[in-house]
Amino acid sequence: MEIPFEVKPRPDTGLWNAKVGIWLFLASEVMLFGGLFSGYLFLRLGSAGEADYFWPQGVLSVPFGFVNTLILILSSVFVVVAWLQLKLRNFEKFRFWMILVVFCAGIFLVNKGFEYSAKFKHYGIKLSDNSIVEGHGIDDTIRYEGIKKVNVDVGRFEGEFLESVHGDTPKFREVMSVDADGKSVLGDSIELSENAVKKIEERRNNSLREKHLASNEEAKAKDSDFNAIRWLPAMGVKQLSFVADKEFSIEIKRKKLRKSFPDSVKFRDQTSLKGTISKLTPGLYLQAVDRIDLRATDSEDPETSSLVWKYLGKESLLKGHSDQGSSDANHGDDKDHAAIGYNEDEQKVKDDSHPHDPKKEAAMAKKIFLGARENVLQEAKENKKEADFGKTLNHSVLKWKDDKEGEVLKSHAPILVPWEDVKLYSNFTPKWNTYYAIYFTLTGLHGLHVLLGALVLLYFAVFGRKLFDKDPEHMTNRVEVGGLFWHFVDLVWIFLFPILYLM
Amino acid sequence: MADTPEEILKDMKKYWRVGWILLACTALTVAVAKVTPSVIIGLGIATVKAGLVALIFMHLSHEKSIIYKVLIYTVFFAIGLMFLTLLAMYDPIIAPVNRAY
Amino acid sequence: MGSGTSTAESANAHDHDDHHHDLPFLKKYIFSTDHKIIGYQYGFTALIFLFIGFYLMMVMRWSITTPDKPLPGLLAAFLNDSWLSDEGRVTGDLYNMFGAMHGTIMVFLGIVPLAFGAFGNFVTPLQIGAPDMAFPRLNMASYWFYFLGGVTMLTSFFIPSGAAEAGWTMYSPIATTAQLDEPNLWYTGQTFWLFGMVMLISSSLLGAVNFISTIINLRCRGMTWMRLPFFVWAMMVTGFLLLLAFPPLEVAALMQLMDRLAGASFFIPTGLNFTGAGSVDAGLLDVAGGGSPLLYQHLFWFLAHPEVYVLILPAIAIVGEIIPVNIRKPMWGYKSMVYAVMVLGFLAFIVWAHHMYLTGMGNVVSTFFQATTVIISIPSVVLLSCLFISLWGGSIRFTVPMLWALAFLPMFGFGGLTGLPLAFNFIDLHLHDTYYVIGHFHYIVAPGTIFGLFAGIYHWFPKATGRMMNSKLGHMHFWPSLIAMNGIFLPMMIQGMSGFHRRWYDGGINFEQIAGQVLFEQDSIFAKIFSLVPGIESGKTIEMIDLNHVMTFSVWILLIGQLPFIFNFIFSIFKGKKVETDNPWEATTIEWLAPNKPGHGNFLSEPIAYRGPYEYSVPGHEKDFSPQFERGPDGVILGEEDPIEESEGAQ
Repeated sequence: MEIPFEVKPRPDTGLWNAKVGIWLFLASEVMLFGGLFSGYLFLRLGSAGEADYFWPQGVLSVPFGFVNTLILILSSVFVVVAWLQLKLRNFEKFRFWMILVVFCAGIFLVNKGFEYSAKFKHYGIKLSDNSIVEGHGIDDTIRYEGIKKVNVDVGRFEGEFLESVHGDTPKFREVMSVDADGKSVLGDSIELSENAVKKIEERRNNSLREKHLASNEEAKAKDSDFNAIRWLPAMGVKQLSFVADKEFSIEIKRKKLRKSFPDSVKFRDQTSLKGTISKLTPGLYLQAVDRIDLRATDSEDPETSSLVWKYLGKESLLKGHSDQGSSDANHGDDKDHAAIGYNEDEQKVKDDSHPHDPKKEAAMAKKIFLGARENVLQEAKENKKEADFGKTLNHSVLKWKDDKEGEVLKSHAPILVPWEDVKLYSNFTPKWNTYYAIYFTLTGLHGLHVLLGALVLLYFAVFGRKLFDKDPEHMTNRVEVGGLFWHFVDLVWIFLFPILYLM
Repeated sequence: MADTPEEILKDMKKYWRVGWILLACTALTVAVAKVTPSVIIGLGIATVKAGLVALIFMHLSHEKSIIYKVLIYTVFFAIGLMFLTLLAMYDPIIAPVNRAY
Repeated sequence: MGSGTSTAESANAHDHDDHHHDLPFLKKYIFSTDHKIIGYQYGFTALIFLFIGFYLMMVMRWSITTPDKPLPGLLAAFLNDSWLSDEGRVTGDLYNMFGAMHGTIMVFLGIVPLAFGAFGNFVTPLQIGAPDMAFPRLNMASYWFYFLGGVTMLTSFFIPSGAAEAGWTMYSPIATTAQLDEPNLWYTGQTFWLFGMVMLISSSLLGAVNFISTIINLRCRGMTWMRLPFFVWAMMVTGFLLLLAFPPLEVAALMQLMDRLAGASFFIPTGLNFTGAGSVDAGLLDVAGGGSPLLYQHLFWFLAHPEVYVLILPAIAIVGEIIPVNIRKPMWGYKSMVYAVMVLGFLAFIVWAHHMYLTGMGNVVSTFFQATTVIISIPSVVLLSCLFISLWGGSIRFTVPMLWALAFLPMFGFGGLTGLPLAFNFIDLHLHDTYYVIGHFHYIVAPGTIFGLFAGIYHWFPKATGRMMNSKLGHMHFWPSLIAMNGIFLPMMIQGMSGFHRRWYDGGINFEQIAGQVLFEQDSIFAKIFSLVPGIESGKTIEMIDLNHVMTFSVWILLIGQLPFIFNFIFSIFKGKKVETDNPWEATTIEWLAPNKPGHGNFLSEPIAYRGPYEYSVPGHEKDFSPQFERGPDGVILGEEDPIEESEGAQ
């Protein structure tokens, strides 16, 4: 059976099937990207109404985006050229241009990969007064000490906390019951694990179940009309408590935790431990601050009283601690534990001419920030305009040329923010702000279209010969349809480039 | 649509020309953005580029009527979708507040 | 080939079939590219999902009516025990979960696939005289996307977190923060729902592309636009609704996925303070904020309002096919119906915010959407009126499909009219989220759409299987269903107006304002009638809350009423009365030209449309029906122009 109008156009509509199909599909794609653009517009306009949120501008590398735009436009030209070569019935030339298109797509995606990974390595911290610092080399290790009691959610327990125990894993004793004086009756000392918890759950549930059945029998004996309730899981045990046979401490990256409080910590599997934060990990450490943004800060005069200035230049204790090798021998050579996020490459990038003195670096950073701010204000005064709010309180503090003294200032100040003053921290992923959220969603979806489109075009180039020999017009039609999709992908990028990179 | 080899080669020249125009427009956008980050100019150039791609590369300059019908219908709602943003702006929770600065 | 004659071609048809028997089973029935087989696949899968949705509803109704009693074994047999409370009752969480999944399954996995996927696939190409869909392999892909989406949704019941539980609308931020206490957010019902949804949307999009392309490009010779049967027009409009309305929901689903899994805050406002499963988790959500829950609602309803027309249009279309066949006269106002359905397809996109009056959108927006909502009732009324007026002066054949179609009309009318008050924002403030709303839209989709679909099943069954469905069993299916449906949804209207909220898992027994709302005094005659319903004690005052017993009782009747159908359906496939002609209903549209159980490629000879779709009782003709595919008597060509010359001339 043959479908009519697969190759030849239908006389009254003038179209062959696939062409109708692809335009309908593109119509739905217009609505898809339209929805996302509408989301972008919403977030961007909406951000203007937020007192503590400013739309990031110019945070992406324009050269990267520019090159990618050029590549995609060129590939679009290549696609039509390839299609015309097929119309000229020249398969080899078609193949050449088509492979060039796929090659362009490859470069585009690789570029995108570089851009993404740069974002993943860049961090920001929002302090409790809403000032923001950004930089590289995060260390969010947190250590809790003096832990004895463990509370476990039976249904969800995955033994997560056991992996982060610092030193030997202690043995645990189950809290069987609590007597009238509030003293716990403890069970045998065991190794805690998912299986062990399961076994205890089973044992407890068995005894609860027997009790339940017995009470059913009893009630029945008293009252023959009594409707026995069968045993249901909801009657079983839900929480278990354990006491360690010695105090222990845990060390883990903060972001892997569900919640952390000064006196307790909760894991993702709902296990909670009681303990205190170690003095070695008093806060969140960022190794090299490269931008400070005080636009949204609550302090009266951000130039002096922002929390950033208070914490800038403080070093992580844990880092020094580990460097001296005085910590546990087990963890001394375990880099992941020694100083999480401590990036040697970052260290090498540092300008050697600057001796690494955090206090001096911090002072330099402040000088840069205030100096640049002074310049902006000065300029505005001269032009009798209001100073650009965005520029006065938001600068890079990595490098700056002091116009007055002609001196180039550089800084690599670290910052250590106490846990209680960290409002939010993240790398530059959707979590950091809505700009990155829409950026990743839009470009990710677009990248997916590029990938799928390239795969289809590659298929035409590699396996198209057979169909071409059989029915060149059919092959030409297919390539035209693939090309239409490719142009649409290009068209979307034409809009993405200015709205994400330039404006 | 052109189907003789000569006309196809003529088309090919046209496509290359459009390609160069698009590249030049891209450079222009970047240059303009350096001078003034104007949203209107940026989107204006992007619209011109998108128009070229749609009209020339996607042959919308001479297409069958039924495709125009489908697209007009679509574009109407796509624009409507943009207004959705404005509707959502009526959210009292995110109503603009006077900034301290 | 004349209809009404026992065609010699039916023997021929078997040869035709035999030709394809060499296809292996897997290729013929599972990974088939034949639009009819795919239609059956959609149909069977969707019917199964409809029954699953029905079961979920029964559990919920048990909880509403008798919240103090443990779930009976019959219903609990399919349940995971760990979902019940320690007294064996339905918990609030379970009610939420089943409520959300009932909506999702019924709408996205039950009715749309059955109406659009099954009937659209089976009937559309046959009615336009096409050998298959324009893209048969794409058609298969859309079924399998749908299947995968369904499997994802079903699987989510069996993972530790349970299925999604934030209502079928999945409003953020409640949907974003639901089940956040699970260790792995990828492995939660909410996330599964979103992934399932993305697959279902993809399926619908591919399907819509395919349908519209087919209708535009594969109409047979002579099938001009105004000769298309109304069903095809409705399918085309439905296709456009799906094509343009689903992408925004896909966007919303993707954004919500980003919110859940990547910590984005598209729909989460700044400083959202939330209480997790245990109050231990209470506190600020660890995200940036800056989004808006309202954006989600706009994106969602931008889809979901057109979606309700996706639910109803195929049913109207089916009824529109069945009525002319059974009244033996042309459809009244065919052209008005076509234009009405097009206007409906357009207006459906600009009424969405009437679902959101309570969000505080502001008066201007509310007023705009109030106006468009009232306007959209015009085309709906045009459709319904045309169908009603068609009945006037017809010689009606009360066949089983016709019974369903006739019941559809008042039921749909009732559902539509009860929607009018909801269109006004000042009334909606009172009725929002009450059982009135539930009653309103269930009147449209349950006794409305589902009746239409049953009508379609009885109507096209002989074409699909070559056998008739038993008409006695059909009556036994129809009457209990009609009565029970009204027994379920009419009380909802009454309860809703007195303020019963749809999310009360205990049916309102624990809410003070419900107490003492008297419906009938103790010794009134109605009270005596009501006390016949099991669960209501005799001789007591009938209160508003007692209507719950009426509804639940009706649900059981509805369930029992479906048994004859299930039996009839399966029995008739194998043992039903064989039909002797290709056109047992003496209908005029082209699908009746194809042999029964059409083989791959559908038609034995090229179909040509010579006239409009509903030419019944044409004066001067010997038969009371003049099929589209028949040249006039003595070779005279009927209709405005000769289709053959027309299309050849075009070439």
